[in-house]
Amino acid sequence: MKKFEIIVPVLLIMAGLLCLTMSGSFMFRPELRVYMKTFVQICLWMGVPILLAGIFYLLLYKKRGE
Amino acid sequence: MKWNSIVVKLGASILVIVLTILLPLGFIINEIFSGFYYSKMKDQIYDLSNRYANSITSLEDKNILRMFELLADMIDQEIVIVDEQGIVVANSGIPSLSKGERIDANDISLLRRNSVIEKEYYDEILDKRFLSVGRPIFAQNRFIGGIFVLASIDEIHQSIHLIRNLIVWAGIGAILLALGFTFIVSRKLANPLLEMERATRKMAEGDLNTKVLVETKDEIGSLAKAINDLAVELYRYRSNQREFFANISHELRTPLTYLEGYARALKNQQYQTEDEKEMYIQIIEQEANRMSKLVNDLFELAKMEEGKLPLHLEEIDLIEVIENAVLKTKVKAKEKGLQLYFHKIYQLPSIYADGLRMEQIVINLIENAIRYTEKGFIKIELSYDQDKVKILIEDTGIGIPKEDLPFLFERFYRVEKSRSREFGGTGLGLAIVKQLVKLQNGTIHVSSEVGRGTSFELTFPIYKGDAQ
Ligand SMILES: Nc1ncnc2c1ncn2[C@@H]1O[C@H](COP(=O)(O)OP(=O)(O)OP(=O)(O)O)[C@@H](O)[C@H]1O
Ligand SMILES: [Mg+2]
Repeated sequence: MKKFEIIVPVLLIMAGLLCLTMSGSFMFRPELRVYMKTFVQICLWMGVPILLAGIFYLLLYKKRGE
Repeated sequence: MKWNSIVVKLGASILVIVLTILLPLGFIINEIFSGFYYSKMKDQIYDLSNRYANSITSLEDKNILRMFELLADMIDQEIVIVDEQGIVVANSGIPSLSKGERIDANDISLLRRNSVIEKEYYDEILDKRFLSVGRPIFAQNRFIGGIFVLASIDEIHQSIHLIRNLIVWAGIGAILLALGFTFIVSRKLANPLLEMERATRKMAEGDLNTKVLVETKDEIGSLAKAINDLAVELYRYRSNQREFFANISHELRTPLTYLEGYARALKNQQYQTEDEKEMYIQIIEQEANRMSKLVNDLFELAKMEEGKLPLHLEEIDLIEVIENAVLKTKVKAKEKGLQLYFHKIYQLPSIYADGLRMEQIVINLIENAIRYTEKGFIKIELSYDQDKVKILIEDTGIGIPKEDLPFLFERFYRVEKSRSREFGGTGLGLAIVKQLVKLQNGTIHVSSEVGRGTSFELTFPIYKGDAQ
């Protein structure tokens, strides 16, 4: 049950990222380098809101801790 | 995983939300792209036709025409050039308009009037549709023919189709991402709930030492805390109840043993004198009385705790109540050689309570004072302030140890278990007093010092009329 709980979202997210990367690069230039570059860029863009949320959470947590 | 679990519900809701956002967005993006691409294409052939028309000065030179055909081959658009009769003189690749053929007469007359033609042209041989723009060619202000630039609509559509595919892929990717994150978030939300369910089920099975281990400070955390509190309260209730039954059976057994013993002695005529027989009968009567008092007290207490005790609340004068109580207990005090003082005051605000119950409270406390005092006095005082009336009942008795004070008002609680036989109490008196005081919106406090005496302090709110 626990394993399944981790695998399902990870698979979903990976598949989502692959689709996005496909549409972002593969159809124009089927090159692995371009593909990887797009992939990393997408990950970075995805990281922005997560990072923001993390910072926000930390700030809130610190405030409450004081 | 069940189909109506939170994970599935949240997943489905997020999916619906994402779709309602993505589908219109995708549609708009598709429109923007195809519109942009199409108009770009159109601009291009307009521009191209304009430039071609301006650069052609004569249709006589076959080489120049050939050059234009080659030029068109190099870019994606096709050209068709007609002379002033509408006869095709150059063609870069539209098979249905081969050289020497005549184009539509309408078109040529439009061109002659110096207007630009834009239309869709269908080539049967290639089975292709073209967007075609035609312009007249003038040389020294004389109409010498026209040029048509054609771009394949199917190719435009193909490009747009590719873009649409890419958008669809991106959309699917976004949905998968959303689902993945939703899965994680909903798991995070559902796990403490599952934990709480597990814990409450265990509690329902009787394991009241289980604790819910959720420590967030949001609503879920406070629910967990409430469940833990409930478990503690249940635990207290259960142990209370067990103790209560143990106490009752014990309290009932003692007088019953006496009854049995002395009744048997009488039956077997195990007495020497008439006096002894008289004594046995007296003991039996006493124990029976004790038992019926116990049962009565228990019954009252049960009714009070259930809130089913009828109270006749009215405006009452405490002075009168206390005078009655003193009158009824005076004899007992005298028997023990104790003084019973009542500092009488002549004016006291009235309170809203049940007179008889009030008297019961006071008598109970005075009786306790008499019972647990060997020598000295018992003093009753009345006082009041802005909104409360205060009754103080003090004695100079044996007192109560500090560690017993918190439990004094519990059922069957007695300071020393041995005190009961010696003094003849059941331990229900103060529990009843406490309940009665509470039912009449009062408070009760006790302070005591071992060997010096005890004082009980009662307060009741002053009756302020119906406007209260
Ligand atoms: N004035 C007092 N001085 C010393 N101890 C007291 C006094 N009042 C109560 N206690 C102690 O508190 C215990 C509980 O009192 P409570 O009135 O509830 O029971 P009881 O007097 O033993 O029995 P009951 O009143 O039901 O006949 C008593 O057993 C006694 O030990
Ligand atoms: Mg008593």
